[in-house]
Amino acid sequence: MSGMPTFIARRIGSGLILLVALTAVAYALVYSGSTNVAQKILGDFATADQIQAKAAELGVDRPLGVQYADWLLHAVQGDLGRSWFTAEPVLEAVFSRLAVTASLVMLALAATVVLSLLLGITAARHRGGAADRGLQLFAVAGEAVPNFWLALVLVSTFAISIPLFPATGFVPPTVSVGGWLLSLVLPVTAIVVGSVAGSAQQIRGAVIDVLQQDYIRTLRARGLSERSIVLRHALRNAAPPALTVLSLQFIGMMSGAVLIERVFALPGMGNLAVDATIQGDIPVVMGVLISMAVIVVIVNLLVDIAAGWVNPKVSLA
Amino acid sequence: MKKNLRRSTRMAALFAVLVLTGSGLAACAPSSAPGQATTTLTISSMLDNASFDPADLENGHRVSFWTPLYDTLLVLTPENTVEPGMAEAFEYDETRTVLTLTLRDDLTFSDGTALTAADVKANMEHHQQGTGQNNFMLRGAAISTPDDRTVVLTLDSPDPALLTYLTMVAGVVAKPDGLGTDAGKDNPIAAGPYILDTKRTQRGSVYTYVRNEHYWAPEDYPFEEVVVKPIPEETARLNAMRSGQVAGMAGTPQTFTEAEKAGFTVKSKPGDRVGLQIVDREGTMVPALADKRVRQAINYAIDSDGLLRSVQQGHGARSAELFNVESIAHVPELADAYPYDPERAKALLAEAGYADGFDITLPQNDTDNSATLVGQQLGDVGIRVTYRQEPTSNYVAEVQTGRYAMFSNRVGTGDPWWDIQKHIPTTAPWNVFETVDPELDALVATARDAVTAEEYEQGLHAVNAWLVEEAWFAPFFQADRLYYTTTDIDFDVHPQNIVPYLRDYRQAAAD
Repeated sequence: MSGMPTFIARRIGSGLILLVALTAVAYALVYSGSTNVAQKILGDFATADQIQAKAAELGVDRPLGVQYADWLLHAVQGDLGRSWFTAEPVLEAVFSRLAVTASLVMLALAATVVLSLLLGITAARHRGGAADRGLQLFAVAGEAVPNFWLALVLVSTFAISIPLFPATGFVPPTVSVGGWLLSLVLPVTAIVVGSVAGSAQQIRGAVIDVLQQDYIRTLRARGLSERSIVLRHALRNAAPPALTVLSLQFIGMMSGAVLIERVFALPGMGNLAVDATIQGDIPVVMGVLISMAVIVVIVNLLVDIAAGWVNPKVSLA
Repeated sequence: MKKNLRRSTRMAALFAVLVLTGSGLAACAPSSAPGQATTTLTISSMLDNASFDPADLENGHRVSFWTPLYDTLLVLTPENTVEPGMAEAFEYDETRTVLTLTLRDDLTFSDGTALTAADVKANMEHHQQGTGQNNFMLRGAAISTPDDRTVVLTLDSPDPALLTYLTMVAGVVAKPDGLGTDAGKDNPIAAGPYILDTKRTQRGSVYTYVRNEHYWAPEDYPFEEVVVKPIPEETARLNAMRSGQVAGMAGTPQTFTEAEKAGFTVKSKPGDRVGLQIVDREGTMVPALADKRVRQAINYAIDSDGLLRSVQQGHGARSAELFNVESIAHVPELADAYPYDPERAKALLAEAGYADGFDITLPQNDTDNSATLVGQQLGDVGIRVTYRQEPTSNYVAEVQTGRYAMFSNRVGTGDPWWDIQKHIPTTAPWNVFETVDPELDALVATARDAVTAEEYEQGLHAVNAWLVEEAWFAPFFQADRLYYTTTDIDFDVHPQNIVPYLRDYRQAAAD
């Protein structure tokens, strides 16, 4: 573990370079796809003078490089600007929406971890058996079904035909914990089916690989219970690839949440990103983008650290 | 084992409680039966709110957010007539350039302070100086307040749409000390029937309004509370309606059948003109368009009825006019001015010297579902169209910069004078190439200066007929605006807005 601080420093450094590169490219792309912003904000009847004044006020009359440098300078100080269309501070908008998306994704991730481990280990221990074949079938079906389609089916069935859960909307946990859980049951289910299908297969494969190792045979010969072998030894050694898969699932969920948030009208990052993109609200688009990028970098870092912690044999080079 | 069983039982019980709670919540939300008292009106909105500052308010979908907070000086009835609102009387002088508004004597802001003419003036000036989309509405008007209850607007020339503007965002009044401030943008002190309950409001998710106890006509608003939920996706809005979470939504032809099947109250009104804007009428970019016969040929080349059926599922009215088909400017005979007649189109092109047709580049965006058909139909008469893709978010701004001689567009119609201001003057946003025609200007001036309603109507008819004859535009049809409510809520379709104003909703009467 002595290389851990160096490893973390190196990963943070590469993460920062990635963030700068990503935001530069994104800024150029977003800017090129969003012209005449001042006119869009002011409406059809704006005069040329008004448009010019608004462009100057927003700073969009400056060269692209200058605009990006200005944005970056403020961003590193925690100032992501204000929405061009609503004047809402971007940081405020991002944080309020992040809470919704985080609720959705963290619950989905927790459900994915529990269900994937349960299904993956069971299938690995009974390789070729009914449970294993069932998992194969579920994996194919789960991967094949688009989550937005599943979401619509869930709404139609469990919110309209059998009104158990709300069809749309989000209840903050500060208002009602029960309402919060209920508002997320269908969205989380729509995400989890696909993610469990993929993760359970990966865990199954990793556990099977470990169970075939010589040291497992030795452990069995020493009389350790199968439960202990699987949970304490096999799972620990199978953890690194599983964690990598889960981190990818997490990132996938963050982006997949866009569609789910639209279907369930959840006021999260996905909805914010879509609305801002449609309007050409560059500060908000950039705010969402950098927030998501920071989250992805942090999650990857944490997963690497966790993999090293769970299994010290994992290389930190 | 027993412990596990107990745990399982507890988990099952917890799940059951959650499910029952969910059922309970879901059961609370649906609307009551027709005729039964409904204390909360919950409606959806396609767009989230932007700002509550009077200068930034918008027409369209966002009226759902600000009409609970703001009353207007005048009121537009479902029959499209202007009636008193906060101003109990309004009167023009004989030149129609001086409008005198007399305020009611019982107007107060939601904090209990009196609303005076000075407050109205402050709001109007804030509106004029603002950068909102509607600050043109009071542009150039001089505002004076002879006394606490009188506001006088003096114009350079008559503006027949001014009264309509005062029924919309130009007629709202917030307490002046909040104008332009963050507090005023988020939660202004106004004089409308409701106030914002900030504890139960979350941007992007839900806006809750409770009664303003100082409002002067609470009987006009039967609901104790109003809740507006921004739901961008139409499918999600429909699901929210079907599950009873909301009682009103803006629809489209794509959801019309499903809404009817669900038993919702469905109403519509023609609102948006869909067609080609021929803006290069002097032929600076595409010389052929300078010839009236070519512009007429374009009108004859388009199968408007077919387009209405295929892209709008028939929800609209065939039209060759600039104006709304329910406005006083409408001339019924003009609907058939250009029947689908490709042979006539070819003949006109040949007469104009374009027997071999000509080439033209049109912009296209992702929401334009008529482009393929329009391109084919123009191609059938020899007008070879090349489409260039433009991002949907930039489409309007791009076509208004003069990069295209002609383009497909969807523009809202309503007050005829407002429609003229959008399309005819050289400063009009849709007169992209700033075309001037003295004959048309004279007709417009005649309509503007009309003293009686009859003269005004005749003047508009003359403008309408001239525009159709000269083929300044190539409209296909006027698309219906659709709105649905659950059966316990009734509403009037606003004559000039895509969604109802709050005053247009009421509890449905029992059968």
